[in-house]
Amino acid sequence: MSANLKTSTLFLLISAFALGIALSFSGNDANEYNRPDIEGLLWPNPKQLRQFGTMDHHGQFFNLNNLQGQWSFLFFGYTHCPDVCPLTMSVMKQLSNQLEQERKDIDHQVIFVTVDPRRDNEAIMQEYIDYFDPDFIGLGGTDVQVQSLAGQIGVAYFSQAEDDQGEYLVDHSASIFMIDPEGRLAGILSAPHTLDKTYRQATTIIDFINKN
Amino acid sequence: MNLSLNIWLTILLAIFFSTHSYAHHLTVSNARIHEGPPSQKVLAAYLTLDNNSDSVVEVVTLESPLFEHIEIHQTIIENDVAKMQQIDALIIEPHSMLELSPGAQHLMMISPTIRITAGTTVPVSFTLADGNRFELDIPVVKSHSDHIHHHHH
Repeated sequence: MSANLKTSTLFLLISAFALGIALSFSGNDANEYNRPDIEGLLWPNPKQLRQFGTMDHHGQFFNLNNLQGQWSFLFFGYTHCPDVCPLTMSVMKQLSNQLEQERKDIDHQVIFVTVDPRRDNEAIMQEYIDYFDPDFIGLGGTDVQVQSLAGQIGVAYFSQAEDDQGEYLVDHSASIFMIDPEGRLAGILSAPHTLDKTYRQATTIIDFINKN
Repeated sequence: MNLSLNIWLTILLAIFFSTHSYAHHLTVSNARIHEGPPSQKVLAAYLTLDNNSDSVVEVVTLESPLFEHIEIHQTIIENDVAKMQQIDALIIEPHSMLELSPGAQHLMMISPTIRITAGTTVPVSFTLADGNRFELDIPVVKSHSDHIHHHHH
């Protein structure tokens, strides 16, 4: 075998290897196209929510139909929570105000779901919602009702042990969940939430879903 | 008219941003309690403690005549789950600062005996590990006037 043949074999091998790498990269590019770099966006295949049944803070049934036709921002917390929950409620109120002022095209609702339905009865929920924004919706009901919504969104929550007074803390998700007008879980906005970051993330996700 | 408004604003700002110095060269600043809905049984308070001395200062007991009890808690967000853990004492190392802020360490003001509303103040007594005590009137504010703390480690 001549030195030339050896060289051209080596060249062929290198070329084939390079082509393989190029192909694998172009494959990645195709995936990147399907999964755009938008923080918090669940895409492709946002999860379609199934039917669920909860009670709102006025004692009315609230189910999947009530999520359809507009964007929904959901936060799961409890009214005894002094730190994370009031802060998130404040950010959601400001987010909602800013959307109403700057993006009138985005029809939306803001929903607080209690992960402590045992203590958060209808009267407490009503007062809590009215305090932050009477246009917000508070959801609760029985454990099973709350779980019918929280379970399929994948929201984790655990009650800690009771103290001497029978009070307890609840560990819960700190994220804001975005449900699109078709009832699909389209985005998760992670804590910590600031108005600027949350507004930018939410509008980017909504604009992407509307175009696709 | 404008003048009196300015004077009031100055007084309000002075109250809000006032700094208090106590024994052990401990300085407390930016103390505030977040107002909550009328039936809220637990409110959060935040403040900054500055220890200018050569020794560690520990705040071991907090009490208020307007709350059944006060606990120190730390919010931890791990894998998007928010948890609160009780802490025994506020420990301020020599020549350093401890900031209690939203989403981090805070005081849990439990079971108010009256409705706590923005614009009022709540007397709180701090007891240190060496037995020293001091009192502070903490202003109550609306929670949206505050912002979430960012951790920079």
